[in-house]
Amino acid sequence: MSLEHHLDQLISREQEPVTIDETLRRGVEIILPDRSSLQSEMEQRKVRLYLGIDATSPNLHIGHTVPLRKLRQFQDLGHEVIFLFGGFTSLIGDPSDKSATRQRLTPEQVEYNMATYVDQAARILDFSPNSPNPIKIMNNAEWLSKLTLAEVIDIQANFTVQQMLERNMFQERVQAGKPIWLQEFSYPWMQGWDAVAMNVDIEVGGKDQLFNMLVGQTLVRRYKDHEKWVIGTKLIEDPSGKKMGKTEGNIVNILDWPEVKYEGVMAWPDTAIGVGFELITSVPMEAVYQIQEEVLPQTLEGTSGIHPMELKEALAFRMVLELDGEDAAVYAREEFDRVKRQRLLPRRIQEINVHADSSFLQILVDSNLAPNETEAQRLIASGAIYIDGKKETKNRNWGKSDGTIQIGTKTIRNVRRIVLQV
Amino acid sequence: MRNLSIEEVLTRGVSDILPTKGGLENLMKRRKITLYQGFDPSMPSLHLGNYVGVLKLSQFQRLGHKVIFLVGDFTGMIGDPSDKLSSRKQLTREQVLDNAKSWKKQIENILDFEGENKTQILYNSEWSDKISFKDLLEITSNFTVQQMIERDMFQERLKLQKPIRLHEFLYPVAQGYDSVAMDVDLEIGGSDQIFNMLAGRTLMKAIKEKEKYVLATKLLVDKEGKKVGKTTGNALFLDSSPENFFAGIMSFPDDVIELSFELLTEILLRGLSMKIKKNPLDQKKRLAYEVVKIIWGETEAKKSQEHFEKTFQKGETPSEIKPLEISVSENITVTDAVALEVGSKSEAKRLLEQRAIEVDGKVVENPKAELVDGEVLKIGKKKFVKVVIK
Repeated sequence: MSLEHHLDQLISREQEPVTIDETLRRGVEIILPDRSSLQSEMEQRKVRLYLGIDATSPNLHIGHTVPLRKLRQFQDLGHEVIFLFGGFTSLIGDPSDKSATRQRLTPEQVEYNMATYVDQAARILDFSPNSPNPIKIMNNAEWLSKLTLAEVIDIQANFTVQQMLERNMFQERVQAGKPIWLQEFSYPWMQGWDAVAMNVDIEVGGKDQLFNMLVGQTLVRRYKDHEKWVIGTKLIEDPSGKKMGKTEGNIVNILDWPEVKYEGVMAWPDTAIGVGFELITSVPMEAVYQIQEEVLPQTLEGTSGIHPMELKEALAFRMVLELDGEDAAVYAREEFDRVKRQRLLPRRIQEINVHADSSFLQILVDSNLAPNETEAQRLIASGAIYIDGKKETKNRNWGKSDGTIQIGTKTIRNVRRIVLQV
Repeated sequence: MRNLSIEEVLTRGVSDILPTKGGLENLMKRRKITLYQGFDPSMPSLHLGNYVGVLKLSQFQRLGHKVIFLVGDFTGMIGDPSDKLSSRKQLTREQVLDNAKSWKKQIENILDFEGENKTQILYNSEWSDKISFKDLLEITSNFTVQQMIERDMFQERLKLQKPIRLHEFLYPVAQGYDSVAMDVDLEIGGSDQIFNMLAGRTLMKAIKEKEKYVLATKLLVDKEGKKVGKTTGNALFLDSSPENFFAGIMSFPDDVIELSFELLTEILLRGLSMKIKKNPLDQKKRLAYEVVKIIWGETEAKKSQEHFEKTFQKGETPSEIKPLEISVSENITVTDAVALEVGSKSEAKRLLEQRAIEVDGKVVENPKAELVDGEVLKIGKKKFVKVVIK
């Protein structure tokens, strides 16, 4: 059997019923205080756990799917799962951010964000009321907004300034002489208080959330007098520790079109393929191990007979398949081929209305191709912008016709169809 | 009591006025201002340090300015949550009100609680209880961690690697909010309170866009910088008898007499330092007399002076002295009773170890012995206390 055929088999394998053991290992970086005590707890009884998601953007991205998958495994095992929406922070905004980029949301916006989060998470979790083990949805504004000053003082007495200052993010700011606003010391325990308010046994989160999750552990021990386990999931990063898809404008969102998500994963370095299969697909672990330990190393050495690109396409295909279904995955693969290999425009392109006297700069910003005019200017000057397929290195007004604007030529995400407004 | 000039009010016993004395002076000439000082109700009685602030408040009041006497019951009621070892009981609302009532009595000769421009007594739990977490985050966004840890007390603990509990940063914030809630122009406090008082200034600016001035009174300290009263073991409480208070002031070291005149009386200071040099004892007696007069009135001041001269200066025997009475609860030990009088338990233990405590003429051997109604406790050489069991 050729490796290529073998690969097809591996990645097309159906998800298998998950075990406690796999739940506590797959995609898991760390469990605190320890894995074995949690395992025996789960063997004895149903546990209560949660994942908290902050409400700062209306989009969940591919990184969120890792702990969401973890939650799904617990759901399938029959444990009590809470999907917690961090509504409190979005209601208060971030008062330290004097530049006000982090706007405070209205209650209606929070409501909306919450609904769309659930819609997005539903690609992975089973929210249906008919589910044998439905997921609970909660909002931490419910308890955090009710805390009084006296209670806050009592909670804060559990932590020291030194503990907070030890954190890298604060260390850096102290050294740079930049202010740390006092309320920033409240944020870590706010998340921790959620664990007390919901009286959970476990919190699930990315390993970069470990500090905050351990704060919750301290508080549960103090106020509820029982253990709280913390499961830190792996981050999608290459072996050097570089996070995937975090660069500006390159975040893969769950709601992106399938072909855009596909393109996003294809932009990852080859070395991230192994961890990709583990984290963003449900390909059985046995197959994942084979990919991580045999297929990928051989492919990177050039001895497997497969091109790394093929392996990555298999990952991208499987990811889209699980989030959007098979038709979408097939479509995404075709689009990728069409744009990258045949150098054609994708079939679906976002439209944007412009006036004849709109400048390229304006258009780039208005269409979200650039975050601001400075960046737009930089893109034009560096020769990255193509108008109707031709490179343009000077900013000018759009003119009197329809057309396209692109960053680079072979792009699915970064192209807009310009429709002239009369 | 006489009216001091604005200039005198703003200089006598004053260590700092922030941001500027001139600014405050102009404001006071333009209009009547509202000012306050906060007092911690966990203490059963006001003490000498509080008295300094009360006297300063009254100087403003006599000039027609509006004085608020703030009972800091919010912090009193929550206590210090990290202080798990201390058996300090959290005060109930009733206890706080009781304390405030007796405080009022202690200072009613100094501050006007009856007239047209009467002192307003406020309780900060009224607004602090209502601060939600959301409000608090808004309020704390005006302060940085760096500002907080700049303080000496925190720097020291950082160096010694002793923990600073997170909530400790909230006390200055809560105190600062008092200024906003009462919308004051000026806060008065000891110079060790400047940091907390400035927190209120910051919040006033941020929330009300208003200048709040801060007036820091000098601390009554000896040459080594130790607070007078703490070193002598004679904590001076305003609920003690005038005779006790008089004797307490007489135990001050000579080097604080002049500062004491400045802080505790309104006597003109010109030429005083010469007089003190010539005859410190006489001047100390005059000081004690003046202070007792301000707090209890002239008759009590005279009586206290006579009592002092009879008891301590002529060396009369104890049987001829009318003992001072303390009311204690049943089953009180000698140690606790002495601690009540001298202000600290450790001081009481030290005195007991030195065999300086007698009950009815016998040196106390067992510090845990319980006192009986009517017994006379002798503390050191000069102090006699008759025990009255409540």
